[in-house]
Amino acid sequence: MKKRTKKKKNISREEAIKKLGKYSAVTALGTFMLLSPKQAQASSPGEPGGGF
Amino acid sequence: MEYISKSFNGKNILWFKSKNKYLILEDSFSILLDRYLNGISFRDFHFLCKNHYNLEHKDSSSLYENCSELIKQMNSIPSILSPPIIKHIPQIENNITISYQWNGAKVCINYTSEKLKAMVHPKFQHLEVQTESEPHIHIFKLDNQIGFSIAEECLGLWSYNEFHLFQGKLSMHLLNQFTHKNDEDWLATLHASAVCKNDFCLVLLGESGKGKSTATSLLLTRGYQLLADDFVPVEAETKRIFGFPQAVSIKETMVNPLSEYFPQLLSSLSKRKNDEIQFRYLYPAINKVQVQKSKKCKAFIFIHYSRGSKTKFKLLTKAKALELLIPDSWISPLEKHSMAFLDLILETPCYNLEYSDNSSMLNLMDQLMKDEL
Repeated sequence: MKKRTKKKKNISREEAIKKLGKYSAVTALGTFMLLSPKQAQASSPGEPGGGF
Repeated sequence: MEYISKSFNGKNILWFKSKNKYLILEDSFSILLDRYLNGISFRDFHFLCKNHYNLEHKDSSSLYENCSELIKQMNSIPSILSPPIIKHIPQIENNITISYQWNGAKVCINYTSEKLKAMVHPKFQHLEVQTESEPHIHIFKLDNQIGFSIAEECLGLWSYNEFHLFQGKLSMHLLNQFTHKNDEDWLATLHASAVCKNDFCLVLLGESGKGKSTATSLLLTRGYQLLADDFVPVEAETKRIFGFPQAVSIKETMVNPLSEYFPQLLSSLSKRKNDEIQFRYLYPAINKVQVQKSKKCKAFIFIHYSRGSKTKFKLLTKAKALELLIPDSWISPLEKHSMAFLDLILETPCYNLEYSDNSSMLNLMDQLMKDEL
């Protein structure tokens, strides 16, 4: 039985950049940021000291 | 899901009305999201991605999943509801009544205990006037919560951990009373400090403890006037910054360096903000009867005092500025106001400033004010 050698498929630098570029482009395209404003007016967080 | 949008620098910001949420995304993604929201099939979505953006099947699948995830997140947020009406108000007795004056208007507060007075009054004691009048605002304690009422209508009750929300709401009502306006007359209130010269102002932003109030007080030594500290209102009609007369909180560690300019700080009462921070109030010189004018914002500056750091000053992208500003601000949930707020941020330069050298910070602020940058 002949031993099979798995040939590694090498890609060129240009091809890698092209692939990577496309991957980042898709990732960037689908990126979103959901932002919530405060639902009420507020001052700086802090405790009044000693309870009410 | 109803939304309105605004474009800037290849991005889009969407405001979802029923949720009062903002979403920043790439222009092209917003087109895809819009189609998704309008019920496009996966087949047509893929077709659109392939034809317009030359995307492969797996990439359009990934974008479709992003849309689905986004809408799932959005749906999980409860819709904005009106606050519950609190009917039960304790019997108010006129225990301690103090009148305050600003912007030519008077407001009278009734505190039902010395303890409650000590929590609110020190911030406004420089506005006190000796005029007897009927109390407008009653501050009381109910079921271990603090609350306030105006004309026998309770505006809310807040627990000990929500004291900053009580202060925010009370500040808003004081502002309305002093200016004869309503909540609908304000575009936003910013967690910031603002100083002005003539018709223009600079707004300093940043997390608590990053140096806003210290920078503000140093600017007061350079011919600037205080507009507001910690609670900065934005006028809806003009998109300009309005003042608010509460005292400036100065960290205990800054009291000695600043006492050269403000010797009164040494005799100001020291208060505790939390386990780590103690502070004193700096009372700005205020003309109580002069009617205030709003100021045009020259720039929003996110400041960060960092001991030993070199001065780093850079223009922020609008996406970054919105990312920092929106979660830290109350923005009026009215449609016209949310759009006007975005306009204000998009048309005003936003900067990031990290520094340790006060004089370089002050010089930069002067240059900003003089349009020299």
